[in-house]
Amino acid sequence: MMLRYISKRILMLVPVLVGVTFLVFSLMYITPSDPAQMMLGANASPAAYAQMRNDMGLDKPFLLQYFHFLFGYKHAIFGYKGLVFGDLGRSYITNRYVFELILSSFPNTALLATGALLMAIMIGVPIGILSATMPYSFIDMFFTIIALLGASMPTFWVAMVLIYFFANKLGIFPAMSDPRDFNSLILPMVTLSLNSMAILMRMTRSSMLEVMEQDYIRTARVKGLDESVVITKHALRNALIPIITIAGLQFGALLSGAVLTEKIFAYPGIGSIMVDAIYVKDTPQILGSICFIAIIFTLVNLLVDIMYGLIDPRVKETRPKAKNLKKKELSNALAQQIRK
Amino acid sequence: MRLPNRSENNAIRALKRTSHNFYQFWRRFSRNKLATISLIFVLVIALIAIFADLFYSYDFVTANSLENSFLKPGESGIVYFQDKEINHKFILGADNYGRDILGRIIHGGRVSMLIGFVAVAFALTSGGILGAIAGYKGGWIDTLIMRLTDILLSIPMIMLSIAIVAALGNSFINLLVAISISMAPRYVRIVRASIITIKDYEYIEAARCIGASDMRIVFQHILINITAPIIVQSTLNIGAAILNTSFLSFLGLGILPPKPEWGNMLSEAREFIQYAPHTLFAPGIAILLTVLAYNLMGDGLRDALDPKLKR
Amino acid sequence: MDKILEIQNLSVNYFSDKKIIRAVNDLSLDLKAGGVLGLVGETGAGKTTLALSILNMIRGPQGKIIAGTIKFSGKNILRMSKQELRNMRGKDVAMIFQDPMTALNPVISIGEQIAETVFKHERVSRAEAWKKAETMLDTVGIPSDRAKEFPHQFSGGMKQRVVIALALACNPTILLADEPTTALDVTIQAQVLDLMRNLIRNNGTSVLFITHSLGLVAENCDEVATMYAGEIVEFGTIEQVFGKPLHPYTKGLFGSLPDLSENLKRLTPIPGLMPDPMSLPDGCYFSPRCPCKIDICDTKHPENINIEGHYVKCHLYSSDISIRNRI
Repeated sequence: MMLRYISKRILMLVPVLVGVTFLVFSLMYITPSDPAQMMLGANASPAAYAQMRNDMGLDKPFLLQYFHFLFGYKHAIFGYKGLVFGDLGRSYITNRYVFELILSSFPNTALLATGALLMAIMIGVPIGILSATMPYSFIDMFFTIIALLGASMPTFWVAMVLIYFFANKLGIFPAMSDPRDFNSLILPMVTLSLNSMAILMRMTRSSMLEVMEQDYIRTARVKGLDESVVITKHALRNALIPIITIAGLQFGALLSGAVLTEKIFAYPGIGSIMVDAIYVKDTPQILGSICFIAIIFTLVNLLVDIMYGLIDPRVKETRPKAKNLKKKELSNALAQQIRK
Repeated sequence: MRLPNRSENNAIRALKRTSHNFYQFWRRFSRNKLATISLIFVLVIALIAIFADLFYSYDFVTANSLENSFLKPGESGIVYFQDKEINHKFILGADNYGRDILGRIIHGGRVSMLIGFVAVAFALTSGGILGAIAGYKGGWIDTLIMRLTDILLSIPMIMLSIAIVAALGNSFINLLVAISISMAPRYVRIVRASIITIKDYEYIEAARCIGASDMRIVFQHILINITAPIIVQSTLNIGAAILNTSFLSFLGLGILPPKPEWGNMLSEAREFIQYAPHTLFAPGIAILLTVLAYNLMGDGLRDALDPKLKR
Repeated sequence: MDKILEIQNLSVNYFSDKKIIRAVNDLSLDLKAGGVLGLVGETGAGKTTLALSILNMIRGPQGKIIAGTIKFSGKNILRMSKQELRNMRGKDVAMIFQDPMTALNPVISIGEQIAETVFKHERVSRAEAWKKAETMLDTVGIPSDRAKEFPHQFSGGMKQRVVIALALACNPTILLADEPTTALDVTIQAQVLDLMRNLIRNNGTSVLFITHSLGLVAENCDEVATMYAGEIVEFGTIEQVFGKPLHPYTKGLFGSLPDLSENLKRLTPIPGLMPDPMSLPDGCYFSPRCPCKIDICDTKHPENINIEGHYVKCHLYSSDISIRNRI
């Protein structure tokens, strides 16, 4: 049943989440800089230092600290509520909640990532289809090279180059971006989308090529259907399944790619926050942000997995046949898949 | 002179087979002109990186020469170096400290190559061994290793590298460790998948064979199976390692100036883009071309090694 | 009876790695209206290529029809425009493929796959096309309330029945059946063939029945042609060919069938392999394997000899006295 499929997936999520938080916590644990020292400053007396360590729960055993990390530690200074309740600790620098800053900046990043993904899909997929319909032609070779270029360019460099050309030289787009000004979002979206665009171009092409070789395409042609119908109705629906899954996964990659571009455009997203934190060695902020992104990444992957199960009728094989016609009508209207 | 015994015969046969396979592979690969060009390019870059000192000495590219700041590509300037006055032509211009950009790029290339190869080698070994254990033993150790892999893969590569370097501190070794760890999971998967296929396949045959020779057969088959995807994955990973390194250095988490590295050259150039664009383009294009060469080569390798290819 | 399909001197080549594969070589064959013609040959003889050529579906640059004409009701298929071809395919000439597992699109319901053919070729509304699809499904023995289901929900035999329904949906004049039951179990084979026989008889469809099984030919066909290395080496009615096979290859095929009444210790296959289509021998293509060959077989390609409607391409039956003297 569909429910079983989903619940199985969600269950597999838990160990991964535990693992990620454990990893982040371990990294925090072995960080050379000492949180107590950071709080007190360099001139604290040994007694005050020991007291602070006790207050923060730093003298407890490793696993107990991890437990506190997740579920909170009442006796900690400032009262730490724990990761499960959304508390990722406090920044060394601002002393505000790490999570607060993440929460306020994340929507901006999500906006940028969504725009970049849409751009990547709307340009990458059609070009991939075009390349597939004329394989090994000049156009195909041209776009293959463009795609490889796109996958090889360092994103942060592209950001700077684009700023140089479009902002400094031509003055078309502003160098600094702001989520409220759409015009200023174009350059960062383009920069961010390049990598995903290249990947989608190539994957669409190879997926389409693979589908076009299949016997059922030959059957469709033998039935006398127009070539356009063969491509759109018969080929695309099959080819799009892996493409959609990849596009979904790309969203996660774009979120992490934000760290590469946002600072350069002075865009107030989670990437900028992270880069700022790196510059000042604010470890809780860095690791907290990474933890957050990792969790989001895992959730996005889970959603993509579930969606994949929804759009492919072959995954739902375990269902009784003659009944549930309505659900099959639904799936009729959606795209389908080949195994990744 | 005695006749070769059985294991020697097997080795000879295997060698002949390998050289024949290699010859066939080379024919397919060389037909892809783009890939062959990239292979040559990669070799050339590697050679230049190894013999960097022949072109520019390390001290020369790390010494400041402020009078020559921002010289455009092709211009010349006087450099006071090691008590000598040299009239030096800056082929790619000078950076904000008056250092020769081309020289720094060459030396930076050395660092990138080094990290790329070493990190990939590390990741391959550790990931490969873990994957082999997971695939061969199965059971709880397999599940454990796969969970670990999933956890590592659930953090995007860049984030993981940043996290590790941020936590452990800024050093060359930590950079290496960070990049290796972020690439290792992919190798675990490849090796494990191959071993699982082979395990079912060879098990029956091995049960009928005698003694130690079947271990060797299994081992040989595994190697044959995994060589192709590992080679392809590795070339692509070297490109990724170079990109990651440059980004980390750009952020100040990897190689710090004055040590030349393409990423930190870009971060130094950042303030002066409008004034001296060549400081921006030179290192960036270096990264671009190198990674592109590895990607093209990896692509060509994949096509040449794939038996299903139609053309 | 007049001929509904006339293939004359058809030659088809494939190109791979700068090598030329001669799949069909100067092949001529006629299909009578309303008749069932069995085409027998081993794998690699070029049967599927022939079928695809009839639909003009050989795609370049890998494959090309380099010579010949295929006349369907007088019109040369190989000269038709794209539009005419599309109208012809599925409506006048339909094809059933060998492997039912891959012939259907996995993401489109079986009803829709049938209905779209009807919709394309006949001037009906989508609703009417769907109704026709349901009717066809009933005819082939699949409950029509399953029309919205997907191919993977059916067994191999049922899938092949869907394929048959698909092919016959627009009542085609010619049906090309390329080993329609090879991929199925023997029991299912019988069911599917029964079905096909009924449908064909009711509609008066002319059929080209491609198979490697002589038994199926005997049961289902009126005429039979043997194909070897891209050409027809023998042709005649079932009585003619099965009663007295002429060509050494045909004889070899019959000879390699196990006879249950005899107490055989070993089967007698035809020694050797089919020639490499990239380098066909001079003279007769079968001569390297022929037990009855004479010296002229190595140098001169045999002509098509007509013995009262029983055609054979073999020097042994040549009317030329000089050749007959050498036997």
